[in-house]
Amino acid sequence: MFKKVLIANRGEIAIRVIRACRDLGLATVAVYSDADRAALHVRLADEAVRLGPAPSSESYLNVAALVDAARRTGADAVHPGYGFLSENAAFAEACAAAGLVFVGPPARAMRELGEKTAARRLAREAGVPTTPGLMQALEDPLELRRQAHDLGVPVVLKAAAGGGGKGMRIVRDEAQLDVLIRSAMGEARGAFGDASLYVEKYLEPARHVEVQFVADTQGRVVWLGERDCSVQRRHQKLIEETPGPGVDERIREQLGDAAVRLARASGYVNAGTAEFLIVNGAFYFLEVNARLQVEHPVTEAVTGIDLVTLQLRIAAGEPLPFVQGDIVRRGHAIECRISAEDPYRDFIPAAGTIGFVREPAGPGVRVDSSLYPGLRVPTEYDPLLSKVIAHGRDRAEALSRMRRALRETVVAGVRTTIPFHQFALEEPDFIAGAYDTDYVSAHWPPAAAALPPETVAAAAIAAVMSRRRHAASAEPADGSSWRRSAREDALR
Amino acid sequence: MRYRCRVGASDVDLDIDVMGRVAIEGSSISADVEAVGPDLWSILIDGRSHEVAVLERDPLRVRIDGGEVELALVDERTRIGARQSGADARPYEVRAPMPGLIVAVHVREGDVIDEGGSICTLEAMKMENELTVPRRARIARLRASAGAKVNGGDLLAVLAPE
Repeated sequence: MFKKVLIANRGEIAIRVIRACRDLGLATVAVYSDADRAALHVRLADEAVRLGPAPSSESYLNVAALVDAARRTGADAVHPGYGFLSENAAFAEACAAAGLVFVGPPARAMRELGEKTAARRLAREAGVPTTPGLMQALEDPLELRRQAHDLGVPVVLKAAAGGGGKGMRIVRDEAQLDVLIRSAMGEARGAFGDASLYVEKYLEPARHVEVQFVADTQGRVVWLGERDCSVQRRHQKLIEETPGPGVDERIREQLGDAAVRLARASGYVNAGTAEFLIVNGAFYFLEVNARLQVEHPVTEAVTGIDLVTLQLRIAAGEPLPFVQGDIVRRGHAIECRISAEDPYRDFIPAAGTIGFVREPAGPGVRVDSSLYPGLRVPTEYDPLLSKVIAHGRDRAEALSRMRRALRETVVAGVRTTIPFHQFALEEPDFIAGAYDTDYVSAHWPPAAAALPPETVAAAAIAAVMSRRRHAASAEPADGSSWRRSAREDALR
Repeated sequence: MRYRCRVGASDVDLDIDVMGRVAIEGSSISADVEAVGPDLWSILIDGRSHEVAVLERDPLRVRIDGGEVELALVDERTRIGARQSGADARPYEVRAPMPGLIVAVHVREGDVIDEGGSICTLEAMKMENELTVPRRARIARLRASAGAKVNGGDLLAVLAPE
């Protein structure tokens, strides 16, 4: 096992990795941009190194600065978290060249899985069903057009080098094809320096279900269970749960088997996730995320396996401490992502400074968070602030605990996704587990509900108190200022 | 001091007297308010616990009882000022400020009355209160009738610009 780990990330995931390192007795090095000097991950680590100015390209994506920070602090391993450089083969190679262990899959596996049509070919060879469509990327718009026509709308155009929805276009009307091909190519060129696209049949309504797997350097691969991540906005997940409400034991075994075959075919080592669409009981391979996922805690909750310490052990060359038959999944777990976004304005990222914060606790509740009062939410990065995870004996108990947890949660100073989560957890289709990737657009935002009179009364009283407090800012915040300020008010 | 407060989609009148006693829509309630932090209050209404945290200030948005709601507050003086400056020419409702007995009605529908003129006399807490108009207006609708008992917040008349 190594001695010191540099965490090439920020926010809640950097804290998650620091915690795993602490549990294993490893020293930690945080890195930060100028926007993150005060961030929690910097304060919780043993050491911290400045990378550069706020923009990602000059800080968290700066390979030279990261490798240099690791070298200067004497770190012997680098954990990339998710996002940023986590799936960047060149970064993994730069780490290796500097004598650093990269906590993730080998660069070769990353490359093979990162080019989307290569991953589709690999899946086909491994006997894993893929969505109907191209197995080769194309740069010729006319040929793309022909292929899309042959598939028949709806189809989806995707950037071959892609990810994160960039260069992705859903085509429902063939007359739109030329325009959308052009705009997708332009976006792909801008985002990845590679305009090539492929096209596949667009399947809807679908459930987005993924399988967590782990592989060690000895060639052993074990799958740990699935997660349903269908509740999304802008192709980004909001809620994840395991087991998947629409996944029966037969499909679960098939998905697990498919994930293991994909891992073996790509020479995968470490933790990874195979993503699938499930349509009418049939599943289709989407892609492999060659890294730790945001939603890994739900799998940790039901399996009792700490995925991040396991990642570190695998990277250190240790064998998996279990075989497939040892894996037992207990109960149900669900995660809600608390992001700085305005759910009432199409989930646009929100800026602000965090005021009062109360995060939930209690039986069955876990919080992975980067929040603290005074945090200025940077606009340069992903808006994820924290994750609330609830675990219960069954889905009903997990949902009930999540409702309780969200009710306790207060995040002042910035708009968050909390109202959406509270809505979904009371919404009959979600409660029934009957949802797909269209859930958000089909259900949100809801019509305004009437408030109980007593809530209205308490809110009105608070409005008066708030005005008084800010009219007379010298007023102490302690004790029973109510009567005194009422008297003052009467004397105005 | 009287305030009119918009809470989400509802409007309520809130009265706070010098002793810190509170009435909502004219009905007094037992409210114990404790500031437990900056922009954070614990409010016990008839023993039921509510926590209110200010999330954003402009516009005012709070978290209360596990939900989020937007608030807007107008106090009486601001409202009268707005009316006197002619900023608010919309119909204006006159509501009973407290529960009581209408002992006399001094106007009929369609009457135009001058600023300060009385619509009706409301007896409450053994005192007679004249409900007056804030400026010259026409009685567009009259609901008050002599001898009627009213609750706080009951509509008595709707005034329209002359």
